[in-house]
Amino acid sequence: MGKFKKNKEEIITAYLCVLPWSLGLSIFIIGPIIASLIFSFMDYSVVLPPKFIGLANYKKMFFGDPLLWKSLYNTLYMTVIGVPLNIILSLSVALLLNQKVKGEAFFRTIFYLPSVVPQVAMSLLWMWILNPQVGLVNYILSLFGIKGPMWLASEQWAKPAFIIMGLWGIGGNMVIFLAGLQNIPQHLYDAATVDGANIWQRFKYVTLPMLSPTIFFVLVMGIIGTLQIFTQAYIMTAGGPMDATLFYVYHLFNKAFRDFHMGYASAMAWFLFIIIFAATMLNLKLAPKWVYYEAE
Amino acid sequence: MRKCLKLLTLGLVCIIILVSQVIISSAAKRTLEVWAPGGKVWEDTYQEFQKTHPDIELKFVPLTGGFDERKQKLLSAVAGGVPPDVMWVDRFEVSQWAAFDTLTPINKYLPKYKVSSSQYIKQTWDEAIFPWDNQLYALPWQTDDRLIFWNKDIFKEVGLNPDKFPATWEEQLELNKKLTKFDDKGNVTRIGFAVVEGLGANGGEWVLGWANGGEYMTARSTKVTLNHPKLVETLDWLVKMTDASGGVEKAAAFKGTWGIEVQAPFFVGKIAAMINGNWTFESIARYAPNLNFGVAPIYRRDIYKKEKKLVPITFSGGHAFAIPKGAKNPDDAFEFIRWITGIEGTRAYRKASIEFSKSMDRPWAPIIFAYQSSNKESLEALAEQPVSQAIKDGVKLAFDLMAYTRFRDRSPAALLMQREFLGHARDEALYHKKTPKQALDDATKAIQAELDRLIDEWEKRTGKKLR
Repeated sequence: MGKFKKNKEEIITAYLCVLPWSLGLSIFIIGPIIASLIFSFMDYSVVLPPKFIGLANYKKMFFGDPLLWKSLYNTLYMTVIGVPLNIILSLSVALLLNQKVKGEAFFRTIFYLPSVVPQVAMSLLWMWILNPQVGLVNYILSLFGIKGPMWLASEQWAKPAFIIMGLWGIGGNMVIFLAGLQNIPQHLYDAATVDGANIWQRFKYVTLPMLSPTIFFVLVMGIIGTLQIFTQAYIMTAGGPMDATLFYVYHLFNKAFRDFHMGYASAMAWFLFIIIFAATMLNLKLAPKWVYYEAE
Repeated sequence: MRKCLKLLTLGLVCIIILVSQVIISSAAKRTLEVWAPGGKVWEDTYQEFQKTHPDIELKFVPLTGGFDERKQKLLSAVAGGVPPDVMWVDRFEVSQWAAFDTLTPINKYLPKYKVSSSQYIKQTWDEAIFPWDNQLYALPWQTDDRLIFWNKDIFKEVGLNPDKFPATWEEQLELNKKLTKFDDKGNVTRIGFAVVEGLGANGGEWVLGWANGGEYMTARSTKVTLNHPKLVETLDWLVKMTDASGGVEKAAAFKGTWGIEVQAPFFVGKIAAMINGNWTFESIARYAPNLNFGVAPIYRRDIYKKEKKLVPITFSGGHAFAIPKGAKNPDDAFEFIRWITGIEGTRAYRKASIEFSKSMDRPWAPIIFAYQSSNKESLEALAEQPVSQAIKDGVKLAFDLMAYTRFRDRSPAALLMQREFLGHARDEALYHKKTPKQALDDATKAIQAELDRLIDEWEKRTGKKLR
């Protein structure tokens, strides 16, 4: 009896201890998630009571909002081109920095440094770098006799400009790749060298397979992150020029917090969730074909 | 463990007692919660109110963040049932707030507090009336207007008469071509006459549309007429003007090189002429006191073409104070908005702003209040200020032009209209994606759809019929 009482007390204590966290989770995360699902079937302008309208928001989304498709295209463009570029570049830099050279710690710091800069500061900085008249990028291009594009002022070049800007922040992925590279046992390389493998073969048959779980992780996180791209466009271009940088979440933000179509914005959020979910599922499905887990 | 539980219980009890104490004490005093701008000048003004109203306890919450953020905060507070008693709003948004049933109509307070429309500049008062129910929802506080500014030195440099600004669009287009400068790589280094919002001008689109005889909406704001032939013609001219100064991409690139304050493009000769607001005078006095500038009204093009007569036109915005629906203390709230927009409040504000400028060793120029008689005092105060005669004359002109001013159509879709006409649709034309006609046709359709939805909602809620 006494033992049971003690147990009960412990249980209560445990619940009390997790209470703050679970309250936070349910009130500020799970609650709004459920609410947004309900609102997605409603016409809700915040101040007036919500009205149930069935699938009207979804219907409008798929058939009556060309900007939504444009914003989705812009976002997918960033994902399809930006994420692989980011992985290739950050992996290349990681490979270089994995060499035993003098001052490697210094170089690693240098390449990581941009990742510490907050998005807002980075955006403001790059507005100057990308300025077509006085910016650094076009100045360097002009040294080679190339007339640089209009970058953020141009409908064609605004998205590539954002991708280039994103490549500046490869430091985060680079660190992850570095960690992955150091986990590859040296004896595999030694064995490959003894068997006469050259650098490329060692990379292809040892490094890549051993690193594939890391690449997979970076790929999945990169896709999820890029599908939610927002800050740069909000600060640097306001979605322009000509909606070229109107990304999905930015369009959603406009609908929710400028037009106060909360119901519609909720529906958009759930559509994005499904897209991200599907993309991640597809990734997981394809993973066994190329990701190698040592433990298996 | 038991100790721990006891402590928790004790803590909870304490909190409950504290909260109830706060509620009781706040009910005992007549508190007035005001969400309005902060800063030294405003806070001095609120203090003056507090001094003259000792029985009211003023609880002031400074509004921070940008336009979007402020609106989100107010909206959440109203939706959550905990609105402030008074809030500061953009006047052209009053209709949107009213359509959403978030503001208290204030007509019934007017006789008791001896407030009447004749005390305020007519246009600013009218802008606070929601045209669907003709109720007044706010008292106007301040306003502004738009004029043409030009740099006389640049005019001389290219051999133009520095004292005269051409009146017709054809001449102005020629002027723009003549004044715009490029470097040897083809980059813009000077815009001749900036008329497009965001590319050196402010409010140019609106005022030029009216100047040309265009109308954006029908009188009761139930029908969008953004594709009015006169507005199409206006946008067409805006495209021509932009193309004349290198096109929109080059202008945007050029804009990226502009600075602020003493480095502002008009002060350093990167813009030769522009349509901009009356606040420019104070900036000139502060950052470019030696600028040799001229200033002129924008004239009605439609009247000039017919009768060769110069009739000015300008565009006003500004702010107002309103009482949200569900405010706990609406009577004191009205006393506050009457006071702050009226003679006492505007006097206190002017005094505080003059003192503040003095303490910072900056020149001072008045803003335009909605309250008429206060503006006379503002001009008298300006006369004693150590600013140039050109600035004094310019400010006087800006004040006088209020007689000719217009405001954006009052409508719950006003913000969407602004985003189209100063943004999306306009840019489609500037970037030559669509013809001006096509761009405005499409925008008209989009805004009308949103407006129809809002009308439906409003008609259902109020049981009234608009169409």
